[in-house]
Amino acid sequence: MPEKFKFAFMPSGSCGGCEIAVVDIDEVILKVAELADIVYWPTALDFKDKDLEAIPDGGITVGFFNGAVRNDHDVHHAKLMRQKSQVLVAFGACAQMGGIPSLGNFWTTEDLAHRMYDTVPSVVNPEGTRPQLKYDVPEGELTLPRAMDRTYALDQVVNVDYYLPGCPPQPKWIIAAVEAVAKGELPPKGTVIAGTKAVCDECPRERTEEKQVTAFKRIHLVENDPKKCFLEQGIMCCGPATRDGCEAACIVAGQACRGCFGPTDNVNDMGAKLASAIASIVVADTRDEADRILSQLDDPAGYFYRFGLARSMLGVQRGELKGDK
Amino acid sequence: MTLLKKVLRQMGVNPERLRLEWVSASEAQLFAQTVRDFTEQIRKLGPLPKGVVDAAVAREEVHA
Repeated sequence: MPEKFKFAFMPSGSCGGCEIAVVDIDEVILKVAELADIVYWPTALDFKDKDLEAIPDGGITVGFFNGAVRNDHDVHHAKLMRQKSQVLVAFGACAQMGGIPSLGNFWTTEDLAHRMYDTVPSVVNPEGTRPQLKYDVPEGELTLPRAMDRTYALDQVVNVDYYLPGCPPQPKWIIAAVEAVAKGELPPKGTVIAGTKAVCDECPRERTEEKQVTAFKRIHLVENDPKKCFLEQGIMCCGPATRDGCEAACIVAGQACRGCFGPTDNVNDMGAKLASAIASIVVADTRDEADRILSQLDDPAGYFYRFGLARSMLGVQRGELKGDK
Repeated sequence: MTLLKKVLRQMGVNPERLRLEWVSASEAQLFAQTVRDFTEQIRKLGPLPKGVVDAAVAREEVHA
């Protein structure tokens, strides 16, 4: 029998959902264990940084990195994983595009800390205490990672070979990726391992080709017809710009698409594509009417870039419009 | 345009940088004036501050 593959799973700035997605492949995980040794997986076993550092360069066949790059410790992890892995996979929406954590890029790190430690209603902190990066205790010095000024996607920090999109990635695509490794049939570098069309192509809801929206409504405030296209009912849905492969899981469960698979191959910028898709379905006779309808969308940038603000083409500009959000 | 301006504002970009005008091919003077005005407006606003537009900018911070 040839030598076993070596896999590693690295969690970074993430919620842990991607780690659960790994075990969500059910009994297939036993086949993965037959195929490969898992040489680093701190969520499942007591691994430390030094265990990863001890692996020779290129000693990991495939490294799966989940989570965004938020602080300098994440940067260290990203670089280590790149150095030790022959193939590095950005696993999940955060590693692929910055994910939910990158919505923090709308503000500076100082703004976020001020909110978190001073103004959240449940916080009482009259002395303005903040976490310190270094603190001396009798047992020695304690340190914390430093949050950077922005959150980054993995490929903004190191080179990435493949992307497994989703929040979290779907079992069938994780299995597809592992099978591709097992058979030695890897797609061209840079491939996003998922569908190639838009979520609308997989969506079971009925749609007419003439979308005519005269009002936008928030999903929890109205009864929606479970058979009809969300957008046609004036409910924001990211389906038109989002890569398929999830079998429209959210929509089947009654929730409009939130865009976690990221843009399709022929979409450069998720927000720009959605802005154009949304604006084109609004029906209004006058500019004022169009303004009124579109002003019903409270937070378009947050919705369009919910999972990918770090990868937006524009980035968030700071300094031009101070305090004006 | 309304939507795009709103998104730009959220992204920290002055919506004054965006403008859409319809000018007929027979309205040469109006066309020239519109372009002159808009160019002047943009010049007054100056260049955008550096954002994370490409990986190179990101690397500056990450590897600092």
